[in-house]
Amino acid sequence: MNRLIPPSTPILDTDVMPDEPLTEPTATDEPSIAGPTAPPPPIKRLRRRSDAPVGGVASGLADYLGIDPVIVRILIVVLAVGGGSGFLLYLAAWILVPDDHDTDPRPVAFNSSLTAIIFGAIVLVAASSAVFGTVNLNFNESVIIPLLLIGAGFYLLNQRAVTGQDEPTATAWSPTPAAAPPPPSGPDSNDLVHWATPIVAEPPAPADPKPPVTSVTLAVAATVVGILLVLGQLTSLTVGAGAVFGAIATVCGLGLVASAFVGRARPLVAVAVVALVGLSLAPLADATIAGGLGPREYRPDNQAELLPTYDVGAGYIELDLRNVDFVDDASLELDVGAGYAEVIAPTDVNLEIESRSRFGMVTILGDEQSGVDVDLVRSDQLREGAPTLRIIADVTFGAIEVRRG
Amino acid sequence: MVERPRKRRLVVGSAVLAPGLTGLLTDVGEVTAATSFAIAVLISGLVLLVGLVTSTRVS
Repeated sequence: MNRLIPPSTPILDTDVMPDEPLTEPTATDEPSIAGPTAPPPPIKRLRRRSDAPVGGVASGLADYLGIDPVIVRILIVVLAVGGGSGFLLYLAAWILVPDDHDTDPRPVAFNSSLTAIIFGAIVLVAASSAVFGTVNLNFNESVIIPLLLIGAGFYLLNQRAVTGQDEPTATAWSPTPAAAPPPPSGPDSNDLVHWATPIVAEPPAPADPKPPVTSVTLAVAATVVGILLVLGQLTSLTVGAGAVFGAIATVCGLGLVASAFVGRARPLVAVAVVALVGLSLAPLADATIAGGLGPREYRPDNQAELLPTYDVGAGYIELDLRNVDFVDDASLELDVGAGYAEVIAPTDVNLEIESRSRFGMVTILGDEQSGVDVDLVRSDQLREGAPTLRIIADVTFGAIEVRRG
Repeated sequence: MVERPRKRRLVVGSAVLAPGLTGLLTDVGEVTAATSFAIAVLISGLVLLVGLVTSTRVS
């Protein structure tokens, strides 16, 4: 069977060919017939606005989150008024976040080597103070761990540029010619020029750039916890396990709220759950850190030997006060993380007792209650003019018993 | 109308924010747990409200 046009025979007639030679399209060529080739959306980067009245932090953050700058300003003012954290965060962002003229791709970076030197000097001085005890800190109370946390936070933020996670995840694409359409059915077709034009496959739609909500939130959480711990060591601020887990949960909550506007942050839910579990166990952790472990038995012989507070993290406290001859009013506190506290009071003092067990049982002078968040307040006035012993007992998990000996 | 995933994230975020702030304020702010809880719920509610309003305006 004869073919009219053999497959190996060029079917293009030079009489109808355009002047330009037919060449393979390259990556730099503009496809002449192509689908929509919209450029990928610009990458959002956290930048301070250089035209803002103050530092440009609020307007830059608002630009990044796509919300009204007024909201961010109100939030900063609220945080600044309520404890000063807004002021500190604003200052840190002013120092660390590049302005919108900066071409550095990192979300957070030192603006100049001078800033880096100043920041490094502060870190070194604080660490040296901790190590050499110039501010009377022992190792456990040092600021090394908090500073490491702060450093880890900044490292995580800066590391994003190195790993390229901040870049859009669009698949690399180069225009390649698609399979040629079937030739025109006849040699007299007048549409050969069209057919000869290379047709380029439609590029895949670029993936949406995903803002690094999770990693930025975790970095901010680490930084905030570090700053809190430093403040706890260098000031009179009380920073316990509750504050640490509370800060982590707070930052995760804000990160999740931010993820409603700028991408997904599913791992934050798991982190938040862990933080909330830690928060619920924080009193136990604080008591354990403060009070230690094991059984404690106290038998003071006189009022001067009474301690203001008796702590045990996990274990048993027995406080036998029968040998104490009270001449004045006295007050003491018991704090038990997990375990049992027993107080044996003398028979010749008036008693005022406030006790609380978060999960467990309270027995005060024969009156017993159990369950969750048990509060029991009892007063036992023996006689007018007798000294009064005031006992405040708190057990997180366990039982309290106060009785007369 | 706020789309559902966005609303869910806002609600979850606010729900995490409230106990977190309570713990933080109780420990650092040296106020009672009840006061901390009230402040935390107020702030979380405001965050949720602003988020929902902003989302509605954006969409």
